[in-house]
Amino acid sequence: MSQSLRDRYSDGYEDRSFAETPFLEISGHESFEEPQWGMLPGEIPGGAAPALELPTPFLSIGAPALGEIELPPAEIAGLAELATELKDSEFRDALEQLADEALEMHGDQLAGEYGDREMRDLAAERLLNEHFAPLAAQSDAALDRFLERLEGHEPSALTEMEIERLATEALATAEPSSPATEHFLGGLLRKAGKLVSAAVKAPLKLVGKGLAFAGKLAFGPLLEPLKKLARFLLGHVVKFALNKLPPQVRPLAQKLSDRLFHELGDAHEGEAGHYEQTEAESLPAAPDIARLEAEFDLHAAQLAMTPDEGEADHLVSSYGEEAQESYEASPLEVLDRARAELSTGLARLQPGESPQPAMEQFLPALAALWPALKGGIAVIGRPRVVSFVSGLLAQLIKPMLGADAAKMLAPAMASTGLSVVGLETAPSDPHAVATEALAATIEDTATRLAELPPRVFDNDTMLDAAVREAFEEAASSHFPDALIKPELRETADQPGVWHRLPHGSHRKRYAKYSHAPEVTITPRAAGMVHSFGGATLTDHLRDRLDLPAGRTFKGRIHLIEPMPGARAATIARAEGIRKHDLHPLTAHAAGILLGPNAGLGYRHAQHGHPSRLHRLHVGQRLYYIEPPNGRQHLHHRHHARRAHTELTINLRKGEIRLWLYLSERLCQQVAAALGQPGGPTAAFRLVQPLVQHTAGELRAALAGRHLPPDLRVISEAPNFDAVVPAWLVSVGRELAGKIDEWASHQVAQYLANHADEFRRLVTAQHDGLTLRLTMSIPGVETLRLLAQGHRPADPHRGAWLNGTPVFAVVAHPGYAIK
Amino acid sequence: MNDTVTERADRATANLRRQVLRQLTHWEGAAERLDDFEATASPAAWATLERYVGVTLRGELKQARDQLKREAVAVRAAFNAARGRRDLERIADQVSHLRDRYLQTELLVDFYVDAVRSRGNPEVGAQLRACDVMAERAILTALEPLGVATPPVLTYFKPGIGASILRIGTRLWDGSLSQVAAIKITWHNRLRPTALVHECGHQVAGLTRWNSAFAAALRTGLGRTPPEIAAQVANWASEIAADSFAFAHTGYAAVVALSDVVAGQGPEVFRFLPADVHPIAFLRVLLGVEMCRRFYGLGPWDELAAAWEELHPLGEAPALVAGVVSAIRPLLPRIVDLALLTPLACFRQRRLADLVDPQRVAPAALRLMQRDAGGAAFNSSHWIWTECLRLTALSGLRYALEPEAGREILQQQEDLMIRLGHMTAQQAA
Repeated sequence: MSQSLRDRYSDGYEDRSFAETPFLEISGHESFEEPQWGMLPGEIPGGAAPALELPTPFLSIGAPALGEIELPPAEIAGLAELATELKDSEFRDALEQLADEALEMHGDQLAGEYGDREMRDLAAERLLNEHFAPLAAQSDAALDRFLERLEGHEPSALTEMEIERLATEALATAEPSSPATEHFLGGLLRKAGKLVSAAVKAPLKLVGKGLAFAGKLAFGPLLEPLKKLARFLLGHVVKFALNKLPPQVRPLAQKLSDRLFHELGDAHEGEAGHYEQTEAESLPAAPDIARLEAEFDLHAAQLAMTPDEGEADHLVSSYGEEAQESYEASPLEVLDRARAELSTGLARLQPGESPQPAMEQFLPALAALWPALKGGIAVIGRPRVVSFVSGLLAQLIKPMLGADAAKMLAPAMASTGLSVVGLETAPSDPHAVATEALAATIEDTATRLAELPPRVFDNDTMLDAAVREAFEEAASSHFPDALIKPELRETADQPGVWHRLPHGSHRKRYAKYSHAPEVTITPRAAGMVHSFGGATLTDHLRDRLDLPAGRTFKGRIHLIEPMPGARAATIARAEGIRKHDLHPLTAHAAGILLGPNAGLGYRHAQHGHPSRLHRLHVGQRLYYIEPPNGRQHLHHRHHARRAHTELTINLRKGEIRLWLYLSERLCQQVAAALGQPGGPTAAFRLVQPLVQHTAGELRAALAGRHLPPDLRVISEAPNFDAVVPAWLVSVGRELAGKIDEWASHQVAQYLANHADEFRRLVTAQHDGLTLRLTMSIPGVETLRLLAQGHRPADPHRGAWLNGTPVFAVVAHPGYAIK
Repeated sequence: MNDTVTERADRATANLRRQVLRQLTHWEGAAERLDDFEATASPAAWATLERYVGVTLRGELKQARDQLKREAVAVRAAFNAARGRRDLERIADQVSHLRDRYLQTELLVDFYVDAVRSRGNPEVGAQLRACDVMAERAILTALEPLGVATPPVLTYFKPGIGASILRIGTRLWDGSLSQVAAIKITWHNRLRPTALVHECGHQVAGLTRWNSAFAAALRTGLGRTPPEIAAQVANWASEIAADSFAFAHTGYAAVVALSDVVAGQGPEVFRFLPADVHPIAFLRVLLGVEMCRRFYGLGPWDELAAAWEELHPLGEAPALVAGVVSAIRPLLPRIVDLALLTPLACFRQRRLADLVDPQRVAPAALRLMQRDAGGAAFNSSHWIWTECLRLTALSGLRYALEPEAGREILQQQEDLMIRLGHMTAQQAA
C-alpha cells in the first residue's frame, strides 16, 4: 500500500470520510476498528503497485490493424462465410425459449436447495436432458426425413430453392409441440439445407472428401454427424439454462479442427489486432445465446469441409465433450452464496466491528463472473485491490451502520413505496431494511468498478476516486433521496429506490425501481426513442399495443436493472410480460420519457459488445410500458411480432442482402395506403423508417467492438467472433448512408411497381411480410482492398461508392428472414 | 321412577348428539370436497381464461369455499362445547343452516365451474376466448374515457333463446359479491354475437349508473307525453340502453339479430307486462330501425320495418297493447335521441355516441373497411385483433343483405372467432 494511503488512515490523520460520503449529515454513528493495511509480497514500501501482468494464450482483439492483413486459404474464408450465413434469428430465439420453457416446466424441482450441491447440479442436468430427449429424437427424425427426400434427387440438379422446399417438407411432417420446438426444428432444417446447398454449389474438389463418393455427392456423411451436433447443442442449452456455461469464453477460432486451425495460422491475428481496454466497458449479465448458435454453426460448417470421417467424428465428439463437461460450482452460484454471506456478515456486525472482512469475501466472487481477457475485468478480484476497495467501502458505509441509522432509514424506505412491493423481511425490521440497502450498494459499487479499465487499478488516487464515485452512484440508487445529498440524487421528484429481486432469496437477478413513473409519449417522441434492434417506440406502440397512428400514449413505465445472471426472458417472466416489451432506458430515452428524472437512465457508454435483448449488461437500465388499463391482454396479442431488419454485407460475393420484416399491422397499413390515390408515396413513407433503422444499426455498431447477430459482415479475412473489422470502421458511415439510399430507392420502386402483388400477399394468413433486397456493391473492389489492409486512393471522398447497384427485391409472406 | 326418567333423558340426548354429529360430519365433508368440484374443469379449460380473469375467478371460488369451511369449523367448535340437550338443539339448527350455506356455495361453484368446463373443447374454447375479447373490448371502449376500470369478463354458451349477464358486484347465492362479469351467450346465436354486446351494455350501465340517469332523461325528455306513457318507457330504460349499446358497436347487425330472436307468433311479439323491463318486442325492433334511420338515413332497415309490420300487423295485438304501441310509436325518434345523443351526467356530460360512435359501423364505413383491407379483413391477424367488433358488424350486415350466402358468412365469422381465440391462447396450466 502506498505511503500516502497509509498516512491517510494513520491515527494522526483527520478523518474526513463523512464529508466525502453521499449521505446527508447524520447525528450519531458507531465507530469500528480501523482497517489493517498490510503489505503484499512484492510490494515496495512507498512505491507504486507492481505492474500487473496477465499472460494469455488467447487471440488479441481491438484496435484496427495497420498494414496488410495476411489472408488465410480460400477454404477458411469459405468456411467463415458459410458459418456466418447459417445464422438464423428464429433459431437463436428458439434456443432461448427452449431453455426458458424447460426452466418454467421444472421450476419447482429446480428451485430446491436440499442436499449436496453436486448432487443437485447433476440431478438438474439430468432432469433437463430428459426434458429435451423427445426434441432430440424429433430433430433426428426431421433430418432423416430431409435426407430421404434428398436421396431421391440428382445432387447436380438440386437448386437452392428445391433444397429449401425439401427442408420445409421435412418439417411439415414433424409434430412439434410448442412454437419454440417448431422454430428449433425449422431452423435446424434450414441450416441443414444451407449446408447441402453449399456442398452442391462448391466444385467437387473443394467439397469435403467425406461427401464425395465415386465422383458424386452423398449427403449422409453430412447429415448424420449433424444429428449428433444437434443433440449436443441441446446439451449446451441445458448448461445455458442452468447458468453452467464455462466462464472463460475462448475465441471461436479455437473451435476449428486442428487441421483448419493450423491452416488459419497467423491470419487470425490480423482480424483486429491487439485489444487493450482503455475506457469503461459494460459487463454482460449472462451468457449470450448467439454464442451458443455461433459455436454450433462453426462445427456444422466444418462438416461440409472435413476430408474424412475421422475428422468429422473428432469435431462432433469434441463438441459433445464440452456439452458434457462438469464444472465446479458455477461462478454465479458462488456469487449468490457470497451475496448471502455479505448480507449475513453485515447483519451480524457488532458495535465497533469492521465490515471489511464481509466485503473481502464478496469481491473475488463478483470478479470471477467475467472472463479474464487481457486487460482484465478480473482485476477487481486481485488481493491488493480487494483489500483497498473493501477498506475504503468500510469507511464509506460507516454512517449507515448501527441501530440509529437503521431506525432513521426505515421510515424513509417506507415512503418509497417499497413496502407495497414487499421486502424480504417485514417492514417493521429496520435493521434488515438497512442491511439490504447496504448490501445492494456494496454489490452495485463493486460492479461499477469492475467495468473500469486496468489503469485505474494501478493508481491508488484514481482507484480511490473511482470507488467514491461508484459508491455515490450506487448509494443514490439504493437509498431514498431523503438520505442522499441533493446533488447526487438520481431524480428530481420520484419517491422510489431500486430494490433487488426476487425477494426472500439471495439469487438476485434484477433490481426494480419501486415507483412506476408516469409518461406521456407523443408520436414524435415515440419516433425518437430507440429500442433494441434499431426499432423505435413507434414500432412497439404500433405492433405490440395496437396504438393507432398519431395518438399520444399516456401511461406508466416500470424500470428494471439486470444483475449478474439476468436474461431478458427471466426478467420478463418474473414481471408477467414478454421479453420484447423490454426497452433500453438509455440516457437519451430517459431524457425524452422522464424529463427532470432522466438520472434514472443508464449513463454509461456501452463499449465492447452492443447491448441487445439477448445480451443485457449488468447495471443497464431497462423499462417496459404498462398498458393503460394495467392488463396486458386487453392491449396486445401475446405473439405479435415486431418489425425487424437484418443485413449481410458479403464482400466475397460482392453483394449486400437486406431483409425487412414488416409486422402484420404495418403490412396492413401499407396495403391500405397502396389502395389510395398517391398510394406508393404514402406506402413508402410507412416503410422508410425500417430502412433507416438498418443504416442506423450499422452506424451504431461501428462504435462498439462486436457486430450484433443481425448484422453480418463477410470478407476474405475470417471473422469468427463477429468483431467490427477495421475496414468497416474506416468506411462504415459512408456505406451506411449508401445502403440507406440504395435500399430506399429499391423499396420505393417495388411499392410503385408491385402494389397489387403486395396487397395480394398480405391477404394470406401469415403474420406480416418479408422483403428481401439483394444488391451488388458499387465500389466492392475498393472495399475488398480495404479489407485486405490496403489503402486505396482517397476512399473517403465517397466517389468509389457511386453507381447504381444491380438489385432484386423479393417479397415473402410471413417472417422469412433466412 | 326419577332415575328412569333421567336415564331416558340421557339416552335421548345421546341419540340427539349422534344425529347432530352425523349430519355435521356430512356437511363438513361436503364443504371440504367442494375443492374437488373445481377440478372437474380441466387445466386446459382454465387456461383459456385470460390470466387476470382466471386468477380473479379462482380467488372468488376459493374465498367462497374457505368461508364455508370456516363456518363449518365454527359449528364443529360449538358442537364440541355442547353440554346438554338445549345446546344440541341449537347446534342442530346451525347444522341445518350449514347445509343451506353449503347448497348456496355449491350453486356458486357449479355455476362458474360449469361455465369454464365447456372451454375444454378446443374449438369451443377458442370461440369463447374470442367472445371474452370482444366483450372486454366493447366495455373498455365505453369505460376507458370515463376512467372506470374494465372488469374481468367470462363468457359461456348455454341453450335457450336469450343472452344474459351476471354483472360484477351482483350478490351471489352465498351472499358474496361477484368479482367477474359472467355473460351467457346462446348456442344458436354464438356466431352472431351482437347479443353479447347488448349484455356488455348492461355491465356498463351497472358501473356508471346509466340506467337511472337514462330513465330520468326519458321521464323528463319525452315532451307532452302522458306521464304514464313516459313512465312506462322509463321502465324499459335498462333494455333500451343495452340495445343502444349494441347498436353503437355493431350497427344494423344488432337490429337484424334482435328481430330474428324476438320474431314469433303474434301474441309473443305483442306481449306486454307493465313491470317487465323488456319493451314490447314489436316496438323494440322498430326502435332499432329508428336508430338506423337516425344515423344512417335510408337503408335496408326500412325494408326490415316494412316486413316486420307486415308479418305482425298491429290489428292482431290486444287492444291495450295496440293502444300502448300507438302512443309510444311516434316517440321512437325522440327515444333514440335521448338514448344516444343526449349528454348525461353519468357519462361526464358526454353522449353515448361520443363514447361509442355508431358511424364507425355504418354500412358505408364497414364497406370502406372491407375495401381498405383488400381481402385481408377476415384473414389478417392485425384486422381480426384490432377490428373484431367491426368485422362482426360487417358479418351481420352481410348476413342481413345476403341471406343466400348465410352459411358461408357464418363460417367466415366462426373462423374469425377461432383465430381471435387462438391469438390470445395461453399455455395450458
